[in-house]
Amino acid sequence: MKNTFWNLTAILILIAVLFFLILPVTRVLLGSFQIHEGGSWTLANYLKFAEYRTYWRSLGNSIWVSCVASLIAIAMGVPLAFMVSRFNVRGKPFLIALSTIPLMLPSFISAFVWVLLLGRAGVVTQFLNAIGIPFTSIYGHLGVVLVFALQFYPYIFLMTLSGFNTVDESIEEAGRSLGTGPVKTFIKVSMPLVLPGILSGTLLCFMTAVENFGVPMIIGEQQPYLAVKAYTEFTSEIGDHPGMAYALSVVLIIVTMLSLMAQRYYLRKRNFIQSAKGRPVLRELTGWAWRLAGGYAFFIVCFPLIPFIVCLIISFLKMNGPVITSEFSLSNYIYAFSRAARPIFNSYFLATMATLFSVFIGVPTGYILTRRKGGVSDALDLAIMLPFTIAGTVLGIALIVMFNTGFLVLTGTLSY
Amino acid sequence: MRGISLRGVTKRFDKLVAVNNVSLEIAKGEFFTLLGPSGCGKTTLLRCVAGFAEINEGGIYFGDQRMDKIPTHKRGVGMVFQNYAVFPHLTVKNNVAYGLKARKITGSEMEERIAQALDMVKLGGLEDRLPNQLSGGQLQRVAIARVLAIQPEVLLMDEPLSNLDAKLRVEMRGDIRMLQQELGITTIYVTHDQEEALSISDRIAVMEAGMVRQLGKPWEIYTEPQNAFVASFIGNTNLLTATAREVKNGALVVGCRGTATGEQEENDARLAECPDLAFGVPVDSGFIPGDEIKVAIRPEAIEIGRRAVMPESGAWPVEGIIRRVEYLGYSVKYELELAKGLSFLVTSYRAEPSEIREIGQMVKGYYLLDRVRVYKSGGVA
Repeated sequence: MKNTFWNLTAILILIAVLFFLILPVTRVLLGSFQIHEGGSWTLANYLKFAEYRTYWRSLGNSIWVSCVASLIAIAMGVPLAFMVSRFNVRGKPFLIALSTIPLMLPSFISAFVWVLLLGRAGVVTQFLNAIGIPFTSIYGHLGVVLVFALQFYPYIFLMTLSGFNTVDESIEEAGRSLGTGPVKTFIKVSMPLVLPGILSGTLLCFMTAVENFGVPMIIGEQQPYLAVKAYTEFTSEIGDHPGMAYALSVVLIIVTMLSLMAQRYYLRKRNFIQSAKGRPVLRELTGWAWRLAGGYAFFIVCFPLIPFIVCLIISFLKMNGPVITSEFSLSNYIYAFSRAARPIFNSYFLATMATLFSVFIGVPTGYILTRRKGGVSDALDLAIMLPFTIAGTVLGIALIVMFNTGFLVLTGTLSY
Repeated sequence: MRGISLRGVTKRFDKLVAVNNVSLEIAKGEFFTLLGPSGCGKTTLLRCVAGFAEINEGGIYFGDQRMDKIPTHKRGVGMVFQNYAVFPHLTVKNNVAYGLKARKITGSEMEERIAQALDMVKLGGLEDRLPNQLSGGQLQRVAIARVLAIQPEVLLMDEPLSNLDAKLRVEMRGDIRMLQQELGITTIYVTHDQEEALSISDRIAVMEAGMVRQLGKPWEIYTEPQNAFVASFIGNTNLLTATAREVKNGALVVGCRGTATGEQEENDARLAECPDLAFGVPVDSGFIPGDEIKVAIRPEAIEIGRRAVMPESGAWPVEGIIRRVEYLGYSVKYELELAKGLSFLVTSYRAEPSEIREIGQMVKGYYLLDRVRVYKSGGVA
């Protein structure tokens, strides 16, 4: 009886996944092999992709900026995790809480504020030019990389931190007693144990960056990026030949899927069991070393928060047309709530509903995955990983294609 | 191979004195055990010898060489940990190779020593396994092989068997003892398991509150505990708080004031419960009527077998009701209620069915006076 109930639930969830995820994405996949809807099967879209520089450059750009951003994020997050885990840095819980803020706020807002600061007419740009430092703007790769790195480094920081925290004290002591000094022990013993955490964080950072649409849209300017390209192809050519947008979507899915598979392959043999007896010893730094470590940690954590602080400040400044004045006022908020109440309501309403749906689907799924074994559960495990590999833009396109006519119309309703 | 000497070692954590002025001389090749309850400072002392903890006072010497300022990786010690601490990312072979590579031992000599070490712990054939494919017992063998391969001068073991199941524990401790004797490595072994300590050690230091309370060979520790703490910690003991009253029938008669089970602080509530009963202790115990004392009687010193006959002299009668029976095959454990509020543990090796007593039975027995130990009352003796 109990089994029947859970199997039924699993099948219902699978049907939902099939209907709202697999079918639309399959439709995109199939559509990428047609020029027109219902046309003959062809590789034309992919040939066009290979032929035109702008398309494969968009692929190259997306991968390039995501890779560079990930490397910078590693450089930010890993040393920070090491310091927070091993040294007596002050205000640790506060620091960790602060570090998660970039993940909670939309990346395109961050991109927008960086334009305000470092765009062609940006405040900082003008200041730099005034004191004689030549700097034009951060538009292009530089800006995209900057925003990605600052925005997504917490993935790497948090996963690495948990890695460092679970390296058993006695494992490192064993290394030292066997004859390697502290530094060599760290390289030979601790690092290999933390590496899976670093890689998982890097993968999250990379995938989020590759899929990101808002940041390159705002700050990428002339450069083409995959997610942006797919979206613009779709909106400008809908009803004409959307095949190209589908092909770009498929390319995007392939990139994210490949990186996920690479990570899973690497982790396959590195699922270390750790019987953490004691957490690693906290090294007490004093004097300058302590100040330096603390200063570094706070700098790394606070720098990515600049856009949000600036955004907060600007929101309280009086606007004179498009020009920001230095006068404090609540006029922006009054304007927002009186004129744009509907969008605000929509955002919160949709987010709330989406969360509720996620809970209704996610909780039973989690239960089934951990407590029940067997065919249905395995299928569910696979299906539930799919959304990870599919960019929001692609899924949006897929859902529009699937449900803009027929018995279930989602386009233009609250279902986005 | 050198011996180890600890001279006035003190280790403090802020205000807590974990190791208090401990001096020990451990001979080369000796199997030396630090035994005590958790929190007694035994592991901290071991970690000081390993170099994981810095000492505040005193000195640690291997032979004549002072070691306490030398970093761990240059001390030439091998350490086996309670939770194995096998490197999870390395194969069995590479775990063993780790210490050799650190010593720049490579090539055929390395291979040879790895094979030798794995052979000693009976792990041949598992070279390429990863730790997550091994059982707890195998993991601890890897940890031991890893240490033996570097041929350390000093072997340090921190409760190495406490994560294993009972049967494996007994098997492994025999193996460890055999290997240690074969190789003649000076060994310091930390445990809270008194049976393990008694079975494996050349000498034992019983520790409490950062101090060594008794130092001696296993049988000395067991049969001649020097104070009430050791008496109650090693094995089971019926411990009474009493006042000496008079000499009668060849025994010093004491009045029971309360029972204690090794607690240093005397428990007033318990004292009040104790009924007015008299017990005999040896006359030559050095106490005179009026002294406040502690009396320790081992459970196996009490004879309550059906066919037991009390000797004419040198024995003291006990009488009570059997309240609990634990049949263990080779022995039987009883709880004997002497009076309301006072029970003795009794272990009888007369475990034949015809000898076993039953719950509720009124029994008469005795103990031999020379099996009784008497200590001065009032805390540290």
